[in-house]
Amino acid sequence: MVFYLFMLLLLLGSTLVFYSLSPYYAALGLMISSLFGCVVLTSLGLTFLALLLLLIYMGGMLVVFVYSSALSADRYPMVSNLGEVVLLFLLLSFWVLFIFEDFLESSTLFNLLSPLNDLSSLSVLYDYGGAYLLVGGLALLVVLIVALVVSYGSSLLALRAL
Amino acid sequence: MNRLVNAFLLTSLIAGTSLVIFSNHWFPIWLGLELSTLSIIPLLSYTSQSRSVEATLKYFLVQAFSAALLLNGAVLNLWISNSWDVNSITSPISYFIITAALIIKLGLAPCHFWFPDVLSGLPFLSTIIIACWQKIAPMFLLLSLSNLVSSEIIIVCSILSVLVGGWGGLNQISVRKILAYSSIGHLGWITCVAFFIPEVSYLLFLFYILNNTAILLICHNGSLYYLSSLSKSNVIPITAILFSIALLSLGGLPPLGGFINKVIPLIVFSLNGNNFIIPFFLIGSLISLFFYIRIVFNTSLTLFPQHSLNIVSFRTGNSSLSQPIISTLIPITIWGLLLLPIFFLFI
Repeated sequence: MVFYLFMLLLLLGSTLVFYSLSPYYAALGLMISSLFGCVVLTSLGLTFLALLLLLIYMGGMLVVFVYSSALSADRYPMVSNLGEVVLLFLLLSFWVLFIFEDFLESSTLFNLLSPLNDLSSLSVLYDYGGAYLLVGGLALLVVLIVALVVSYGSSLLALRAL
Repeated sequence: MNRLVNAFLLTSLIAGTSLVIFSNHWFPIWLGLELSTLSIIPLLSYTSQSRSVEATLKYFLVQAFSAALLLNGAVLNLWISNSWDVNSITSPISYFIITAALIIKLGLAPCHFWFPDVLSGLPFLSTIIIACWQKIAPMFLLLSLSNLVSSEIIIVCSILSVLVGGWGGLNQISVRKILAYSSIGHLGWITCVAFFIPEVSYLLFLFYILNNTAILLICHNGSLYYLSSLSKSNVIPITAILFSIALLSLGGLPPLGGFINKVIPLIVFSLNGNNFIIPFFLIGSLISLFFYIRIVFNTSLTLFPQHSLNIVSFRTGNSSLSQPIISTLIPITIWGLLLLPIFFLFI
């Protein structure tokens, strides 16, 4: 039952992302949804993926997103419609609950103390999938250069029109 | 832009498309599509004019969304069939999601709305990359998927594309928008054959790419951005004649090479007994023929009152690099019909 509570909080986070008026609340929703996504992953036994997601997503991408939304936000923003967000979230979760009622009776076993199921496939990523990792890294290098060129533009001022 | 950065981005563009063509695992395919999208963003927007920047933004949003949809379909296919292999699309739902993503990427109707907007905001050399090179990777994927699962969604989308390409280009005055709608219509013709014999679609796609590149290069040479500038263009006379021939070939008139793009699909449809869809294609291409002839009319068949020394331009100075490329591509439009027997290898 607690498992479904975590998934419901994930849904709350994503509702906050797409329904809130201000980008700050959207970033808060991203944080909530990634945090509870990690908790869901951990309760399924995939602890390494959860930690990876937390570090890279929250520690890297989300910080960049918050800074860029702080740069691009409105001058006099409408701040929050949290009441509507929570109402929408409750309506969505009750809708799912009333349609898919059967899953509440089934029991879900947590494997909190199981062996780490994700490490065996992670090793394949570095072994047979080494070429994919290399190409992915090269693609990220291209992304870095593209981001620099786009934000510097033709002169060395920061944050051009794009 | 810095020459080194330019070369790097063009190399990664070619690498991205090659990565899509040469792999049979979904991850490098997605990676190659994203790589080719990302690496042309600076190439499209380096002038910082607001039209180019807006077109780049629209292009990036559409392509990123469709690449994410493609990855979603690939992971769904992994869940159902336990394989990352491209050749193991077994379930209809994952095939549908992946095909929808590729249709958005190609700009087939009903997902064509971004294409004329993006093309009309970019200068002609960028248009060549978007309209010709960037279609190679998703078209390749669509045709190789058609080898495995034949689904009628391709026929529906191609019929819609041909009709949209015909009717959409009617009231346009911007040459780039006209060429965008013509591109949508041609892709409709090409993808419909994929339902029957996908190998033939590769051939038709190659013809279309060469023809379109030639026309766009000629338009780039003469800066033919609007219909009003067609009669005042200062291209050298042989290019003007070849431009008209290339456009009529794009319209599919018989002794020219572009007729292959029309006659091979019609033969394939009627050999498979599918005569019902032929009128839609004929109506769409007839309407698009009208605006090709409108361009030809404004280029070569009208003569506005002007000084007689302006009629023939002796200066060939501004042709430089693209003239040999144009001269290589144009013979396909003139003698292309002689290549028709290649098609009979595939039947």
